[in-house]
Amino acid sequence: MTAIVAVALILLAIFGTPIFIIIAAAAMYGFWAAEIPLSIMAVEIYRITDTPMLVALPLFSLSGYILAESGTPGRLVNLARAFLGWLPVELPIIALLTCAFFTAITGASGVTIVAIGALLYPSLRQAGYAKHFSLGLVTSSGSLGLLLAPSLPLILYGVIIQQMDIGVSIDLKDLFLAGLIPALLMVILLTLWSLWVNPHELKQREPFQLKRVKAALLEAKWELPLPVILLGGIYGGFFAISEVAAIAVTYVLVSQMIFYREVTFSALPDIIVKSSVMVGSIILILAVSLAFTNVLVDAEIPMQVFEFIREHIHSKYAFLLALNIFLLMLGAILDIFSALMIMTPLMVPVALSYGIDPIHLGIIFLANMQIGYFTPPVGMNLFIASYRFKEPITELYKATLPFFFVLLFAVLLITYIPWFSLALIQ
Amino acid sequence: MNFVFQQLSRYLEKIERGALILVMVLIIGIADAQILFRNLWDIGLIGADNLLRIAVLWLSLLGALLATRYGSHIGIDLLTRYLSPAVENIIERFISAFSALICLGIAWYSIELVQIEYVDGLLIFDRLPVWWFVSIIPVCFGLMALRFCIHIAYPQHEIKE
Repeated sequence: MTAIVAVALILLAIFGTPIFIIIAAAAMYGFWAAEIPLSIMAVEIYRITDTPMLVALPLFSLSGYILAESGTPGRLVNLARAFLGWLPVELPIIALLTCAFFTAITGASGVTIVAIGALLYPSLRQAGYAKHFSLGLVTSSGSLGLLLAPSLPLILYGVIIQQMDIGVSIDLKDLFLAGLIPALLMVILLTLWSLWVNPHELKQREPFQLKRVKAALLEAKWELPLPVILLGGIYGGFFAISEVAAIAVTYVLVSQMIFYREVTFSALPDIIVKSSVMVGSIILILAVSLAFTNVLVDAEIPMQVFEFIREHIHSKYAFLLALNIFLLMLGAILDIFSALMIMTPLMVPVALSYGIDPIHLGIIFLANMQIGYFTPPVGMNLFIASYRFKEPITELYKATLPFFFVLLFAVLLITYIPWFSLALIQ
Repeated sequence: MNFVFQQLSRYLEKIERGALILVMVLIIGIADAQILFRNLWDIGLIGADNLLRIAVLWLSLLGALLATRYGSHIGIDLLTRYLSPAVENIIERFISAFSALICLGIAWYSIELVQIEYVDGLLIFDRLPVWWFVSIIPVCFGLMALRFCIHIAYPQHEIKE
């Protein structure tokens, strides 16, 4: 019976049933089979009110959506060009850094390609970079910065660990610190790759001009405090993550609506709705996943997975390799949020038994899933880029392939050398 | 699309959007007030934390409800683009029916929780009964079920007005 239900639900999922419906159905079936009254579903959903840091999600996401609608992406790119325009292969480097930065300050809510990529793609083409290289660069950079504070998936990983009650506790601040070097590693490898494929660009295009830097800084003067608020607030430890989110969104509202006057009062309701619809569907998946996890725990599934893996995989490195392959496949068909919420409770106990640090595990997981953003068939950024740049999706598969291998190399380094993730903590 | 359904769909959407925006404004307001009071006057607002967490639940459910309206729920959707429109249509209706059933189930069983809270008579801030806040679960899932039912009759790609 359970097998039939499982197959039916997987089929329904593949044909496009919303993930939260699939997980809720699985949870309800599990409770029903265990003869637990189904009103427990409501109790489980209400349980998300036990998590104080969850309030950070809608607030960071709203900041991101407001910034994406304003002139911030343009000013950010200008600023980067003023500072770095004198470098050889300057445009790809600017693209990588601004994408990572923008993804980080907007909490990785998926707005980077449209906000930054759309600005840089025409410039890249104009400067003579090949079409496939330019497309691949902006599409794969769209998820760069996922490992940096305050990205929503990182926060969610912390929330799930907290909710799981497995005897380990992690500090969200450590998780944010852990992502810094791995993110930097990805940027460096992608920069080297850009140099390698564009040797003809190894010439200086424009000299460094202090005047230009000053002008760009002046233009962005109301945005300059934002990274200070975010990074100072998160790493400085003066505020809780949810408070940083509240201060950030308030500052973004004031600076963009009053100082720059680029986001009008009448545009705000639409932005709030767009952002909350995205966050709402993510938190709903979290809510039903909490119920589903309890079903799994009651049925001792994590125990069985644990024993199965311990029986067949003996070394830590074999486990990590299997984990990489599994997460790459998972990332190709499932979005990062659902994957996080379904897999974390199953994975963490096993990883702990191989002596893998839960913070390192979180970075491995997210780094793998970051690649999933642009792996066929369902990588979200492929669709956004295809829509935005009016290119067929198959073109984007081809364009992003070299970048896939570069980032895969980065993921392998991050997986097998824990130092990258753990150097800054302890 | 049938006129009555269209009107109903629009009214619901307006109310849902209004409620969602209100909750978001509340969240920002409470969170900011909390930070100000604590840092400037060293006063903790009693119950603010609790209220914020409940507001996030409300915001999430209302957001998810509108995601149903806009057909923007996260899903895998691996195969539908290879199907003929006629087959796609049938599958979409079937999926909507299944989704409606699940949402209705959650709505139905969560009414029990509301009843339990009602009988318990627990209060937040000494005056607001907990069951008010819990009611959002059956209300939102009930409306989601209704929305999915509308999609059975009028599949998503036909409503794109």
